[in-house]
Amino acid sequence: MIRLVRVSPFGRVLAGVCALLVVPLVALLGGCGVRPSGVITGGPAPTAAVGGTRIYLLSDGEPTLVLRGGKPIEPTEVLRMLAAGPTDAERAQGFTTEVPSELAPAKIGFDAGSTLVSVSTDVGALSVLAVVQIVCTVQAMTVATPATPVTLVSDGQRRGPLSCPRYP
Amino acid sequence: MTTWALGLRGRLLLAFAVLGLTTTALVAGVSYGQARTVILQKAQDAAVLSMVDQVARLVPVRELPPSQEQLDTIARVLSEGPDPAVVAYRGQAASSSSLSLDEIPVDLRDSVTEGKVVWQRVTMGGGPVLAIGTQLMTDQPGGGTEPTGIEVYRLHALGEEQHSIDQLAALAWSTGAASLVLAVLLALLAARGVLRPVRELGRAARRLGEGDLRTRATVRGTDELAGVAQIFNQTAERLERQVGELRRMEADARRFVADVSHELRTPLAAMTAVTDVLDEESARLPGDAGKAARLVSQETQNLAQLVEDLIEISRFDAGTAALSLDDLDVAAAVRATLRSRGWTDQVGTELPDGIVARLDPRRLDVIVANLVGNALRHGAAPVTVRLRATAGWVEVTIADHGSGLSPDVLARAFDRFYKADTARSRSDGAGLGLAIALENARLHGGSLVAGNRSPQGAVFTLRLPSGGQQ
Repeated sequence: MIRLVRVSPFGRVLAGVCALLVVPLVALLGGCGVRPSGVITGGPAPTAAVGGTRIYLLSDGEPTLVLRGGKPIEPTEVLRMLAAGPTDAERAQGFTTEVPSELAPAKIGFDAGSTLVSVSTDVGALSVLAVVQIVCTVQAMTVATPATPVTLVSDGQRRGPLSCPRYP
Repeated sequence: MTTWALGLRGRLLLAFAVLGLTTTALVAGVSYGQARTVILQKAQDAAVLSMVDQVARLVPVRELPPSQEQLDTIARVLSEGPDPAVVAYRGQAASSSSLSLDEIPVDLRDSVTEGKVVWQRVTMGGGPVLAIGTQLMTDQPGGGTEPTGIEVYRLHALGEEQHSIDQLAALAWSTGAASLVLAVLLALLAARGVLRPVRELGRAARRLGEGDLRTRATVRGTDELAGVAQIFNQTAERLERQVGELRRMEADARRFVADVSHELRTPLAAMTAVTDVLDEESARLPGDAGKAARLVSQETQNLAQLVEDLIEISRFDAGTAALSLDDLDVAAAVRATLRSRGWTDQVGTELPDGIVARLDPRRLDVIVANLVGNALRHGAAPVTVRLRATAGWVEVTIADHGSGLSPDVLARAFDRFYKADTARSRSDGAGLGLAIALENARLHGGSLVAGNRSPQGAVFTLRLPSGGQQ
């Protein structure tokens, strides 16, 4: 025999109330206390001053800022430092350079709003990364804002004016 | 469904409890959630700000890639507070501080390179910990910033916040419990207000059902329940009036029968005297005249018996029938009854001597005579009368070997003027014998039950209290 199950209206209302209110509430609260979260991204990272001489070497194919301690030195000395490439310690950490050691001696001059860097090697033969290394290193020595563009010159050949690429 | 077969009180309790709990859960839950968010956000923002501030005020880095010594120095500066810090360079070389880089979540380390301050809540050592990470940026000449590759991580324990939030939760729970208790109390109060009148009404209805027609419910207030009580009272009043009317009419009818019977008694006595004479003369009357005289005599006797029976019944109905009890030997009384009716030869008996009971001898005689007469007329021989005594009772059973009583007859055997066999000749009696027997048995405080016995035959069982009326 089929017995019809009768639910009183009261029971139905009660079940509805439970379903409507209690279930989402439990879902809302989830649990109590402090629960782990995902990574939350805040404001920009803090900026601090740095000292030393700034040159740019390559790390994983990217021009990367390298600081060398010691006394402040002449711009031509900085370019010589760049041409000399990474030290043993830096090399151990994976730094390389594409700037040829024949770059030095180089001369730095100014011409019509552009920094002229006269080098002894053929500037047309320099790789893009090498040019970026040189431009960034030269621009790091100046304090003008915005930085003066840099033109590489050798035996009448010119590259530039160029600027160091911006970082995010 | 039995699950919902709750009483009014249960349903009210449940409804109030659900309402109270839901409201409290919603309010407490939402405020708990918000308070938790606020507490956590505040703590996190403070920890992040403090670290960002400290990082921005670090002694300028003079060498990149930094030496181990430099990393250790930065880590030491940042670890000066209660929170441990670790400093890494491009995700590799780390400071040799108390905190190891491996303890920082990988997700956080991956996100640090995007140039923003990042943080993440993790569970560490059983407690919640905020891990904050950032890269150290430096101004690029000519505007903008560039990463130095130095990454700083610091862990900030959220134990205090956890404690505050736990306290909030405890408060929410106790609020919920208090509200449940309050809801239950309110529900009980409401249920009492509703249930009391309902219960009173139920009691009144039960009393009315038990026959107390004067029952009235108390009408209190003007609500729906008061309306029901009013309707109940009106119904009871009408019922009482109608039942009273019916009773009066029935009493009138009975009185009429009693009066008629009494009025018939005197002329019947005269007629009986005449028919006695006629009986004696009938033998000498010729042909039809003699037959007619005998017929008149017989019918007059029947009529006299009927009137006697009616008067007897009327006495029972009027409640004027009275017992005149006497200690008597039941076996001797039964034997006397059979002998006086001339049934001794037709009836088998089982009457042990020495059973003495306090009974009305005349009424016992009427009962036994009516039952045995009934068995002889409608049952089949042999008819047997048995007597036995049980504790406090005497039991007389009159059994025959006829076809027994059908269920229909069993139900109505003691009704007045009821005749099981409609084809029965009217000279067999008016159908009052068993009714009178039953009334007599009841007057004694005993019982008379009709039944069937195996293999066949009807049996009437008379039980009378041996110590007089009970």
